[in-house]
Amino acid sequence: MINYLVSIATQGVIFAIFVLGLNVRWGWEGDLDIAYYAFIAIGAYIDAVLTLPPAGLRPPTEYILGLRWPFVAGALGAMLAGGLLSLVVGAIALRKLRGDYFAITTLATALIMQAVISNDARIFAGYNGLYGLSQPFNSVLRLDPHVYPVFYLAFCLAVLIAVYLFLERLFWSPFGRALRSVREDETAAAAFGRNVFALKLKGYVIGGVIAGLGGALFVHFLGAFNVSAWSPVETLLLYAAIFVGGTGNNRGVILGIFLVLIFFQEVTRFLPEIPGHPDFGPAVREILIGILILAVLRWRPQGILPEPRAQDRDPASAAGYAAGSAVAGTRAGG
Amino acid sequence: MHGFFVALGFGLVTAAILAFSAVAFSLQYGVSNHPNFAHGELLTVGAYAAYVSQSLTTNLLVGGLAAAAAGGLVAWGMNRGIVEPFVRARARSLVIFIATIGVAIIIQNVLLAVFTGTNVVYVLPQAVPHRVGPFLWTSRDELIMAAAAGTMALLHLLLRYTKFGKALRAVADSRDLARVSGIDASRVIQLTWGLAGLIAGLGGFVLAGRVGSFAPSFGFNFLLVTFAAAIVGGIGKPYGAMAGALLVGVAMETSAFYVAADYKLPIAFALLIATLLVRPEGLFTTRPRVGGGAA
Repeated sequence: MINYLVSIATQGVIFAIFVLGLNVRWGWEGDLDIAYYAFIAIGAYIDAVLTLPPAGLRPPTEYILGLRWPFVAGALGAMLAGGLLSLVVGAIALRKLRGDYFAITTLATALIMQAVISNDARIFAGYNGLYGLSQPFNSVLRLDPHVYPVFYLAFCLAVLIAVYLFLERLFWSPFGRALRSVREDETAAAAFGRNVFALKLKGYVIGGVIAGLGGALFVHFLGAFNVSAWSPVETLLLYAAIFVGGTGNNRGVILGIFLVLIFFQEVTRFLPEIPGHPDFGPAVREILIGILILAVLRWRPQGILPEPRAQDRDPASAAGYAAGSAVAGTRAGG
Repeated sequence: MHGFFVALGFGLVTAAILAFSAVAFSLQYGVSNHPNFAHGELLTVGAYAAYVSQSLTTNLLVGGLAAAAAGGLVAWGMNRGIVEPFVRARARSLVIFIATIGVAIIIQNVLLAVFTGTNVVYVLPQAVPHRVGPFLWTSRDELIMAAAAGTMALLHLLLRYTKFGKALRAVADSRDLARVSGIDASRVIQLTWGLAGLIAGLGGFVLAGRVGSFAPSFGFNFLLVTFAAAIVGGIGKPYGAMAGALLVGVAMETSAFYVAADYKLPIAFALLIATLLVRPEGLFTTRPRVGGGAA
């Protein structure tokens, strides 16, 4: 039971990191990326091939690199990969395309990547996927198999807190404000001298770096990674969390992902099992995700914790402010 | 050269199927100005409706009618039930786009819950390939191309020579100008959704008949190819979409003659991305459509 809870909690914490990265792209920047999962996947793959032993030792699988680097180096590589991929996709797609075309382009890019990875098995082992990943830091710690998951949960939580604190600072920084002004009105932001493209690209890359980091944590949590895990539904789950929690609000989207995950965990428990129809449960789960997204967008588009507005904080600004205290949970936005 | 012509022949069949889907998508997008991410599900719904009708009769005409009717009904309902309320609530256009993603997921999984994920097949007459000039087609392929040509001709007559067609083109050009000329724009938009659904549903039947077997995700898998054809042809331009379908369909099948067949879809997507970047108004448009290109 404890193992189960620890496992669920770790997954929740890692998904919270994912959702924070997506929130920069969609929440702050206003760019609809329906292929966000590809950036998580690329982080997972790069981390895996950096930390795994050379492929030659494990025939018949084939993959590039196999450097046996420690986890921290692998995770940095994953962040770099997520950032670089974002830089390339963003530099192409953000410059010219309006919203819906941008979204379609992200999806096309992800599907091309997926086709290349599944067909060229020499890069990331194709459909076989990568497996047998190490437990980060355990070569030094040598923890008991029952204790290690708790340690990994604590570690992931520490990473989540670090990412959250970084993004909270960024949210109120001139960059964060400028990025959100671009979302509200590109023309007006440009008229005030903002370089719309550069701002969006920076936001996009930050989102990709966080996705890569999350992917690295995820792949070591799972122990294996496979191209068949690239489902658009996973990205949609993250969007559901953002809408429920509050688009743009870091604290809100973390709340959102936990609510959404717990909700589906609980709901699927009460679903009847239909013999000979293994797809029934997952299908109902995805129908519920769809309904949840429609309902929230229709009736409470700002989510549970709306994005804090500048004026929520401004009254205190003349006299200085207690960090973050005036920000939390205000409902004035919307 | 022989193999190339066989591939070209396949390309023409793919183009014919793609024309149904791309023209429907383009028509609906051009008139309502909201891209429908659940468009692929209209094909799936059509394919399953024809499958259900086959439990009564295996007549192909009945199958086609069932597919078209189901597609039309679902598309019309999708607009009335989901898109219109969001438009009335003045939601951002990207929010409406996300709503259609939600609809796509719901429809796909309702079909999955009802029909399970097992592939289903139609009862169809035997299809034996035979030579037609340099091409190698089955009678089924010829029927598909004839059906596509017939549907496109009918659509042309509808757009060109009927009052509804004229109103549709007016709304697509400028909704406000159409309104001040006394056209009931929202009614035209509703009917266009239905019309697009009819064509897409029929397209789903034809596509399913061609690929042989299908499952709830089959229309979704065809969605980006549809986007590619519609965007290459210029969004909102039914005739452009026909040309785009021809180009994308032929490019996909003939490329399979040179590179691995698994790269068929990526080639369509690469065409899509290249068009968006270089000429977002589409290859077959003479003047950029206002508001239809890049921002």
